[in-house]
Amino acid sequence: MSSRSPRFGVLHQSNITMFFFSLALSFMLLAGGLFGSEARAEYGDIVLNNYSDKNGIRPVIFPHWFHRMRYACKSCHSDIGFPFKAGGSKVNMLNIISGEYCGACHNGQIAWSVENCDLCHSALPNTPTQVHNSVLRAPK
Amino acid sequence: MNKRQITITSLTLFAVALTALMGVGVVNAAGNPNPFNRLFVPPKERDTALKNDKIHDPSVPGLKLLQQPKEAFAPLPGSIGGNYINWVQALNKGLIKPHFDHLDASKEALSMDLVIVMEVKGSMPNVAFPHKEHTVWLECTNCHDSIFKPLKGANPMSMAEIMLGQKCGVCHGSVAFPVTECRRCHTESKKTAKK
Amino acid sequence: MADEPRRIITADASKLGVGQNIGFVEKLIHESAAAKQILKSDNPEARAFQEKAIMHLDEARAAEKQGNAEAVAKALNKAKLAIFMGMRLVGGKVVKDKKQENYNKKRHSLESLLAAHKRIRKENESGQDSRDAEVETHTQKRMQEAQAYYDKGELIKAGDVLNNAYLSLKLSLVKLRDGKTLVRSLHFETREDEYRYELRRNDTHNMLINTVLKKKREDPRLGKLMDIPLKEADKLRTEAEQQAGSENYEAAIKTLEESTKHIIRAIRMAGIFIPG
Repeated sequence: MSSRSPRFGVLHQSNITMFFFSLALSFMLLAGGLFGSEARAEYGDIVLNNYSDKNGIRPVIFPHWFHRMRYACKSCHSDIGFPFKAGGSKVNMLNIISGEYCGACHNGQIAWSVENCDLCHSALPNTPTQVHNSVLRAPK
Repeated sequence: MNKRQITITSLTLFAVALTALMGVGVVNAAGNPNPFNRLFVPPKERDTALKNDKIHDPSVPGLKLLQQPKEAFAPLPGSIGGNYINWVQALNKGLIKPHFDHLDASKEALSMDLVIVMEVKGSMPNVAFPHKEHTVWLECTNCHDSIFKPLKGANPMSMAEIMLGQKCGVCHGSVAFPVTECRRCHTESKKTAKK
Repeated sequence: MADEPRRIITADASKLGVGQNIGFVEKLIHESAAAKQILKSDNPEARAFQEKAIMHLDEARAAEKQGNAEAVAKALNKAKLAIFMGMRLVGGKVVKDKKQENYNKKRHSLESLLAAHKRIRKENESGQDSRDAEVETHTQKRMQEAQAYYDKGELIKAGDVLNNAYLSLKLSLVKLRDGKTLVRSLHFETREDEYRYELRRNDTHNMLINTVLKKKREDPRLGKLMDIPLKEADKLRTEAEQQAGSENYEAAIKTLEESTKHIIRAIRMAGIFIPG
């Protein structure tokens, strides 16, 4: 998508200044939004909080972008059985420790093991389950 | 000039000056006077440092062990949305080598080169869906038939659905390039399609 | 995947400085769902691991009193590893459930792929190849074989048979389709279908206004300007819905197309050019 000049033809002459002003303003608003106080985590950072807060531990952040560089989608979403939905699996510590879901790799052999709690449980408390920075997905 | 016009003009000048200043900042930092979307934060300057990203708890000691997105993405080809990475190019150039099987690093994807051209109304170019670029990452059954019915004409699709996270939007808009990159799917101009 | 419990190799957590909270580890050992499962189980080995974890937790407490942070970290890590070993011993049901789930998913996948293979083989213009039909019979046989293993409780073997069958079927399917381009032309069975299509196209453009351009529309001046075509678009949409209500789809389609054009005008006003 590319930015083009606004179509002045549809505007009254006296409105052009105002229009230009508002255009500039909107750019500022836009830039402000990007620099502002909103969360700016990486696209595809997934927060999982099905059970964490309830059990007094920080929610999990799964960096999807990190994993997709190392494994094809299929290995987790087909072989290991994660659905295409944040928080859609019933993953908990018991099945991870038993070698299912994250535990298929995070077992000390393929990747570091689960006693490193804080490497996953690293989100600010009360962060809801979400795909972070998911763009254009209309609010529920 | 009446007072109102003066106010508007001066405000406009002020806004333009500010916008220009911001633009200049971006230009200097990026070293390119004509970056795409001049007033957006260039991907290289986005601050997604884990401790500042507002979802990680900065007090977690383990944070310093995790990889920073900026570091991970430095060698990869850029794009205009999402992770600001062209993942297809990154893969084709061998800059990333994702394992196709988590237990057997030697297994390779069995890709299929099948293109589905979908006509759309209006002057928007038609969509060409390349199976090849998808099957190097995914298994057929990731999409068929839970997301797409493998049947001619069974998948009437709209951008609205995609934006709501259905069909293509299961991935595109949350982990794969977002729908703002229109031209990556709408590639077939109407003239070519008619040939 | 090996069925025997894996040895847990650990990074030196005292250097990592993570998860060093006595209260948290205490909860993990005594109160977590998995810890409760160990207590409920009659598995003496699992209970032994839990006891071992409690012992290490006491060591951690003692070290904390002496102010020895490094010893606290080491003891806590041992406690965690011990409780995890115990949890793994009672996790059998979890593993079995998951293997069953995996099998059933894979079976469903294979069924879908087989249906696709049958359909594509029949569509194939370049003539029928008897080998393609053979692949289908082969797949069905393998599925029966897998089911027999599954019924005997040999889940891993059942899964492997399905995986191999899937791979050969996929190979055959790829061969049938590779290198082709198929065009899905825009064709509507009825005028009503076309109307539904136009409705979704209208929704789509409205959604762009409410998402990508939300910030721009909040700006009072630009917002006001954008409101002009958007109001017109709304009006036309209502009109189209009424026309469709009285089954005048022909007119409803035209009205909706007009409505969408007005939304596109508003989007372009906001500085984003999209084709019509």
